[in-house]
Amino acid sequence: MNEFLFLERELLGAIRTRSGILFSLAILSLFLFLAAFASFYLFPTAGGTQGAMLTADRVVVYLSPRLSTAAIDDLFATIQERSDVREVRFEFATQVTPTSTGGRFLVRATSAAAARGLAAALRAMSGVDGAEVGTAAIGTPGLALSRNARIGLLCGLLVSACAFLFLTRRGFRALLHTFRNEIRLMRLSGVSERTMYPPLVVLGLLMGALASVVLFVGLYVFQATTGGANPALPLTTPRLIGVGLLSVLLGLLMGGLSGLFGASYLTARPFDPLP
Amino acid sequence: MARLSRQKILELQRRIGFYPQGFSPLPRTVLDNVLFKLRVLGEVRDQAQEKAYVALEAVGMIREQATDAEDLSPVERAKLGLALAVCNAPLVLLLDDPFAGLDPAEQEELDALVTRFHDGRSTIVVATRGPLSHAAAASRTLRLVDGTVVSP
Repeated sequence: MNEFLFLERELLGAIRTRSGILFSLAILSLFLFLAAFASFYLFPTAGGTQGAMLTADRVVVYLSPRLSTAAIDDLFATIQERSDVREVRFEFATQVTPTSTGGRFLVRATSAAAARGLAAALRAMSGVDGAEVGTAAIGTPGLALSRNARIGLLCGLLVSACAFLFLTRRGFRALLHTFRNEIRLMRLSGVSERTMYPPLVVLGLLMGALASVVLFVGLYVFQATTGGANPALPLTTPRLIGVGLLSVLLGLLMGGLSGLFGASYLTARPFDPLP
Repeated sequence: MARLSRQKILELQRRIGFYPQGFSPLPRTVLDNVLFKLRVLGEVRDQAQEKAYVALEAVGMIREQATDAEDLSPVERAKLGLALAVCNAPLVLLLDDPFAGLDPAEQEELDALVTRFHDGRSTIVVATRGPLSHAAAASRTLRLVDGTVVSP
């Protein structure tokens, strides 16, 4: 433990401009990797329930935020009893867009032809702020991810992971080059690999932890500035903590792996004790 | 040796003080050079400091403890290499051409130092290409030509 702490401090002290820049870029790419990973869990898919497009026989009815639960129930029953209505579904305010905080009804007319008249009739009802027919998007614009966005995100995930591993490998190479005389002395003195490896792995873990913590803080700031005021964004605190912890674990795993990659350089020829 | 496990070899290595040919110190102070070796071998700070001072005292480098090792003269570098080799009280001292690059006066100075370390308890093996005047104090001398022992 004593020599581990000593070596860790020495390694951190051996970080120079080149290795420092490489490690900073590696942390940035790991942060991007984790952010892309978190986005998969945090943002809904467009084209799902929330991001569905209205078909011609459907009407979305935006309710006034001032309506009581009983008034919504009455309105629901009234609409359901209409002869030109096939089906009614209610969505709570938290499920819909930030502009329609009173909740909404998703109404399916008996036919596409009847939908327009139905919308006009519903618009005239007390407690209804508006009604739309047809192909308007009823999802969470700007927050949901389309299929193409998800494919792009997946590509970003792979590219940032590769960039992270590449940059950490170059960073460790630069760092160990600075530290080569010390490594040679350790080898000559009979210091085992078991002593030399852990400080490098811990250095990788530190990078992973740093990127994860920045992401965690970033998510909190995002929730505070956007998610909290936006009922459509499912960025609740438990979800945030869940995704955040998962990202931290993934960050530590990636960091540890990069440390192992870096440690594998110790067997390279420049560190032979008797070159 | 070939039959020994890696762990056993490392244990043996820790009991051998080695001065490599063309020794170059770490780019830090004289004291930090010795402290580095002792700390990576598991010594705690105070113990390491104590042993480092003893080793530097033994080679006559205590005054230069705060000097940057890269600013040392060739003979001082050789003495630092010797201090590094003896700091953890090894049983065997292997010195690979420690006199290389030194003028005759410096060679004599280093030779005297090596002879002083040979206190009867530890074994010292010195490999040198120079004249055999250094071998005066040796209990056994082997002369090699092209890797072959030519005189015992």
